[in-house]
Amino acid sequence: MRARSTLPWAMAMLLLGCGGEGSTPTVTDAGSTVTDAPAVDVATVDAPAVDVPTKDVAEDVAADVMVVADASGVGPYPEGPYGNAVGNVLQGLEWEGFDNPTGEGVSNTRPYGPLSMQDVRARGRRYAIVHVSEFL
Amino acid sequence: MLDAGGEIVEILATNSFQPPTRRNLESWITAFNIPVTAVIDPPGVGTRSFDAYGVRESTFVVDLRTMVIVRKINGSVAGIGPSGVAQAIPVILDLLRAGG
Repeated sequence: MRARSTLPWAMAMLLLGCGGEGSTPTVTDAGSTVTDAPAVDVATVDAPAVDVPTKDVAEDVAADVMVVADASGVGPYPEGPYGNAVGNVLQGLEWEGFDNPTGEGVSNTRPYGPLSMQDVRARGRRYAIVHVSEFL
Repeated sequence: MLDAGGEIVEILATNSFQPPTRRNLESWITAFNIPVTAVIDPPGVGTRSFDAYGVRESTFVVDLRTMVIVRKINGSVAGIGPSGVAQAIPVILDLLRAGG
């Protein structure tokens, strides 16, 4: 039996050279600082009325939540009809194999398990190359 | 390309026109030191990927939001010239740079 593919070594090197976990964005602390404030006798201070814009804040938070939801959820898989020509919607399939989205190492050193096209979409990346190969 | 926001899915669709096994997949990955996601159809579904996506060296550039095929490259089944993936990488990089 002979494996036959035209996948070049250059592709592997190219991919290995640009993959990495370091690209994953992380949320960092806002970095606020606390300083010692002078003691204040709150009972003797006439506090001015403060307009707390609760409604506006709530709307801002809601807007932020919507942005987060859009970035992390791609929605259900697009409906058909499906096809394999330019302009067609590619059918969503389920497979099993070695998931290696960051291009780290030879893929069969990674865990073996199920993977679907919807799983790939859920990563939030913009475009994919889907390549059909054969073992001859 | 992966850092730029792209993804590659290698599908081992057939083994001599039969459904491939996990052992086939492992051998294939080892033979070419494949460093990207590589999959086969699960048991019991026949050659579903082959039936849906087409013959070996069919290479698709897909918009993951809509799953619309924006480019299809039919690589050489004889293994002559650059592979479909090698031809598709510049395409997807251009798309990613354009932010489209």
